[in-house]
Amino acid sequence: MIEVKNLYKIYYRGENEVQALKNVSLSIKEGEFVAITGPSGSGKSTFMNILGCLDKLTFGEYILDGVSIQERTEKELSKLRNSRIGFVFQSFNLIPRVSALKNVELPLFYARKTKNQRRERALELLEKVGLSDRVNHMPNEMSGGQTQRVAIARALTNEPSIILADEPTGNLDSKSGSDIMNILKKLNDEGVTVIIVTHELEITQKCKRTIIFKDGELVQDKLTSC
Amino acid sequence: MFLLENFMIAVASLKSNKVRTFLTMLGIIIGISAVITIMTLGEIGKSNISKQFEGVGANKVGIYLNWTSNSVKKDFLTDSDINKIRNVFKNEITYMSPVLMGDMGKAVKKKESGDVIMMGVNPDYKALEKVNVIKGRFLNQSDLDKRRSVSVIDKKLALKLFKRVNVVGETLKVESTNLKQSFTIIGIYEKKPQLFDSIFSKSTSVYIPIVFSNNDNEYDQLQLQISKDSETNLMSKKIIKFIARIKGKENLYIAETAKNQIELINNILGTISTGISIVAGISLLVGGIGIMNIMLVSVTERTKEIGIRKALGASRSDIVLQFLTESMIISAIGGIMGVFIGLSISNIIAILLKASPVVPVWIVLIAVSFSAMVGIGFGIYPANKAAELDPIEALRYD
Repeated sequence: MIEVKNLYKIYYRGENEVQALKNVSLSIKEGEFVAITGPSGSGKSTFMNILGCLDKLTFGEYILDGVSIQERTEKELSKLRNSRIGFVFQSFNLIPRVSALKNVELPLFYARKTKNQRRERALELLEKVGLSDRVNHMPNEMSGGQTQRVAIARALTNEPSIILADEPTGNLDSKSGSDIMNILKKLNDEGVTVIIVTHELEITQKCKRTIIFKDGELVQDKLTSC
Repeated sequence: MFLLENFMIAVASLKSNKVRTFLTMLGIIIGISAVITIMTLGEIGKSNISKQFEGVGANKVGIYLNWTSNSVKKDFLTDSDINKIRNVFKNEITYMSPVLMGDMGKAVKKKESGDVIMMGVNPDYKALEKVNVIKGRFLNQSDLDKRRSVSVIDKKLALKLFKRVNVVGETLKVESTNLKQSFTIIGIYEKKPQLFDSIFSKSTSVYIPIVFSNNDNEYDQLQLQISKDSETNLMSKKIIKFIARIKGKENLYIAETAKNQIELINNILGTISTGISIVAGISLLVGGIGIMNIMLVSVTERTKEIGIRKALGASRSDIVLQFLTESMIISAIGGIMGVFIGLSISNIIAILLKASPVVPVWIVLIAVSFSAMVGIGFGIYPANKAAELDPIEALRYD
C-alpha cells in the first residue's frame, strides 16, 4: 500500500542544504502495525509528514495505493488526507472553542457529508473511544487522555486505511498512554494500518515492526515479536 | 448546504470575538451610513425642490432690475411701462403683477405681535403664486383703484394675533420703519409647508394693494406667467428686449425662470452631495482596511487551526471560503446596519425640515453591493494568505 523508493528530503537554508532524509526505501503493507523511531533530528517526523501528504519529498518516489504522490494535484492531496489518512498528534490538535462532537465531525464536513450523516458517525466513534458522555465538552474541559481519544475518533471518521500517529502518548501519563495504545492496537486488529512515530522503547515493543532512523537514514527495519 | 454550514462556522467564530467583530464592523457601519445619509439627503433635497417648483409652475418668469451702482430712478418700471408690456404681449402673458417687497415689520394686536413682510401686489398675484385663500377674498381691482387699505394675511398670523382663523373684517396694525398703518383684513390664506420653512421664515407675508407700498408707482420687480410652457425662455428674452427698448438701456432687467432655478439648485446640491459622498466613501475604504487588518490578525492567531484543518482534508478553497465568509459577514451586517442608520438619520432630518422622506432604492442597492465588494476585496488577501500556509509550518505554530 505504501511504497517509498530512494526518498530524499532536502531543506535549503541559504547556501547550506540540510538532508533531512537520505535515500529511504521501504514498503508498508495493509494492516501492519509499525513504529518509526530514532533520536530527535533523525528525520522520523519528516518522513511521517511525507507519508501523510503534508510535506513534499525532494527526490525519489512515494507511491500510495499504486499512484505516485508527485502526480497528484493539491486538491487530490487534500482529498487523500481527508479520506485515506487519519492523523493523531502529540499535542492533540483539536480545534479550540469547538466541541468534541464538532471536532470529530470536521473531516466529514470537508468530505461534504450532510449534517445528519456527520452527527451519526461522530457519535458512533466517540462511543467507540469511550467518550459518549463528553460529546459536548470543549477541548479545554477534558483531560489529556480524553482529548487524545477525541483526536483518534476524529482520525477515524472517514474510515481511513492508515492512521499516522506522531508521538501520540508523548503528552500523556502512562495510564492514559497505555489506554491510547490499546485503542490503536484494537484498530490495527480491525485491519487499519497504524504507523506510530515515537522515541519510547515501550511503545515500539507493542508494534509488530520497528523502523529506526538515524541522521536521515533508515538504519534498521525489523519485525518485533509481540 | 455546504455554504450554509460554512456561514454558521463563520458566525460562530465571529461570535467568539464579539467586541473585536463589532469594532471592525463599526468602520463599515460608519462608512455606509455616512454615504447613505449624504446621498439620501441629496435626493430628498432634489425631489422636494422639484415638487415645490411644480406648484409654482415652470411657465413663471420673474423680471428683476439688474441693480448696479449706476441704477437711477428712471430705470424703474412705471405703470405705463407695465401697460405697454401688457398690450404688446397680451396673448403671451396670462397673468402679470408688479411686486414690491416691503421691509420687515411687526403686526401688533394688544400684547401679541408677529413678524410680517409687506408685499405690494395686484390681483393677478393670486393666480401667479397660487395663493390659497381659505376665508374672505384676495385683493381685487377696485381695492387698487379706490386705494382701499385692505390686507390678506396668513392663517398662522391670524392664529397668532387673534387666536382664530376667520378674522375677516378685523383690523391689522402694522409697524415698520417706513410705515405705520392699519389695514382691514379681507382674506386669510394658507400656505403649504415648504422645505426649510422651519429654519428661515418666522415671518409671514401680508398682501396689500401695491398702490400703498409706494406712491410713485415705480417697480423693480415683475412676476408674470407665460401662456405656453414651452415658450417660457423665449418669451422672457423677448420681454427683456422689449423693456430694454422702452427704457432705452440694454441689460437693465434680467429674467429668472423657475426652470433656471431648479437647475441651478440641483446643480449645487449635486456638487455638494458628490463631494461629501467622496469623503464618506473614503471612510468606507478605511473601514475596509480595518477588516483586512483584523482578518490578517485572525489568520495569524489561527495559524495552527488552519494547519489542523488542512491535515484533516480542507482544501485551499475550503480555507479561502472560510475566511472570506467571515469578512463578508462583517461587511454585509455592517452594510445593512449602515443602510438602516443612514436612512433613519437622513429621513429624520428630512422630517425636521418638513420635507417628504425618501427611500432611494438605487442608493441602498449601490451601498449594499459596495460593502459586499469591500468585504470580498479586503477579505481576499487575508483568506489567500491563510490558504497558502504550509500545513507543516502551520501545525508547528504556537
